[in-house]
Amino acid sequence: MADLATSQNPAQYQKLAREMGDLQEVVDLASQYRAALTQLEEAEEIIADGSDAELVELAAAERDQLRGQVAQLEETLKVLLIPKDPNDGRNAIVEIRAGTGGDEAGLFASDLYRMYHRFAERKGLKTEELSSSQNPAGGFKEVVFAVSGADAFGQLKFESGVHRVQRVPKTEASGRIHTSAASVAVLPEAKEVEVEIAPEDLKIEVYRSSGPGGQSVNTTDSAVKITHIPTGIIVSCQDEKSQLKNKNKALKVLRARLYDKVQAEQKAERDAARAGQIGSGDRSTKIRTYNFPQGRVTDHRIGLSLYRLEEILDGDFEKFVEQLALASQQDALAADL
Amino acid sequence: MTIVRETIRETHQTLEAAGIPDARLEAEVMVMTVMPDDLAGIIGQRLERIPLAYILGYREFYGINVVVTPDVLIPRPETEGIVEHTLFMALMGMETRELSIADVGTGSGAIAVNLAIHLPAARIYAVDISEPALDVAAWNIRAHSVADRIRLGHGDLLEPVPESVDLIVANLPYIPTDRIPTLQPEVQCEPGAALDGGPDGLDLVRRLLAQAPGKLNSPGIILLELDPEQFPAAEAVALQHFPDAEITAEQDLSHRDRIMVISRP
Repeated sequence: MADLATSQNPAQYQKLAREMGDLQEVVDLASQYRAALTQLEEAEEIIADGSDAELVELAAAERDQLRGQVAQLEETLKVLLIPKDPNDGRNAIVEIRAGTGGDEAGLFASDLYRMYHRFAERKGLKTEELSSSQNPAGGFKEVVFAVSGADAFGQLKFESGVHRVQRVPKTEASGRIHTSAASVAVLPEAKEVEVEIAPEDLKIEVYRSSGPGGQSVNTTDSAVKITHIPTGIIVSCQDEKSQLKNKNKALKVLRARLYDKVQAEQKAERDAARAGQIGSGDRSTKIRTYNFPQGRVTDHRIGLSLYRLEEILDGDFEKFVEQLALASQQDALAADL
Repeated sequence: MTIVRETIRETHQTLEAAGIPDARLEAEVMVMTVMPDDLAGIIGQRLERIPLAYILGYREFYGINVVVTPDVLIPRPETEGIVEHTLFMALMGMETRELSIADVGTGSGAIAVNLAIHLPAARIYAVDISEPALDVAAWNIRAHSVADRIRLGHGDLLEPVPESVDLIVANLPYIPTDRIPTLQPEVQCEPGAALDGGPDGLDLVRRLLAQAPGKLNSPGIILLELDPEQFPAAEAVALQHFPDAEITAEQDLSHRDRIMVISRP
């Protein structure tokens, strides 16, 4: 960091400063750990020597206390030494798709959208809708939105998977409970430099009216659809804003999906040896059930049930994030042993 | 949020029943933009087929909000392409040079304002035959703080442009007269003078190309927005006045020929 070249490059300096901050924490704790170990050794020596009874008593008491300290510091250090997910600090792109259950699934998708929107509000994060496709009953077939702010991805990454709802649909006259589902995918936002997209790899289209278009047509829609030819990924953005904005939004989503694809492939290679991992894993796994009659939400990965359905759907699901992060840490620790 | 969802659904149904295009999208925009008390009035106007942009008073174009009134044409998404291509032409090997540009038939000023924003060194003339349109353009120019770089001019095609320019950009009326009554009711609400290009739609384009040699520098570029089937005829006229020019067609995002680029060496 004292290097002249670095001091002239603010981005690099910041990156190194952050790294140093992180490392400093570990270094400080390591010093404390070594000091406690040394003291523990000394205490053990005094006890072993046994010549002064009073001293031995004191040493015994200290030893117990130090053992506790050492154990705690060990745990903390182990956690700090787990490599952080480098994507945690990024912004996130969230995709919610209605699954089985027709209109009701669409309404549930929109409930989840509201849940994440409220979560973002509580956490001081910003949301921006990028694309959506509604169904006639008023729910979403699909909605894609960006969440930006500190650790947006880190806080939302555990939401990837299938969310299941059990309730009496609004449209249901007989009062029977139905089960439907929506799938959520959380992707880290990719920077332009990280994902190279060659212009010739893109097919960009808009809805094509019959007739010559141009001055002859007056519509509010300037939807843009982008196909990434090499991978076949299609992104469309529709709203009333300019074609330019829609194109940029679609590109943002495309970049995130391409980045995610690469990351997933790399992760699959790394995880070939590890099983049962909690994290942004298989997207088709059922991760949570929202049971309305019981007012209960259960996360199946950690077996945690909370009887706070209303609050959770209002964006207050921090508890799940906490416990999932903990479980993920424990997994990582176990795997490294 | 359920109330909003309900309101959007009802509005959507009302608009759709009346045959309004993009009913769902417009319903969303209306409900999210307008105060609940005003919504019924807005819907009422829309049911008379007044374009949404006139009702709300603006249309987003190339990333900025452009104020529109019934005195100007509502900018089309295809026209964003002409801004893009003009910027591309201007920036290619011409970065440091002070460019002069004429936006002929500027209407709301949508093109001129965007060019000014992205080309800080350019000198732009935005001209139109309609004074009410120039008032709207003036508003948009002030709103985006580019008044120091755009001069407005009133008159016929290139006549009000005081000097020879490097780039001429024109989205002139290019619809054949007979087609206009067959178009959407929304289009009928827009100023006829901003749409009507005569029997084959090319009357104004022809006159512009006749005036252009005296007002275009060498090298110089003309960018024209047209309908696909007009390209052969327009190219012939262009070659008449610029026999040495290179003429190319750029497509819009519907893969239709939309912009004719005439490069004078």
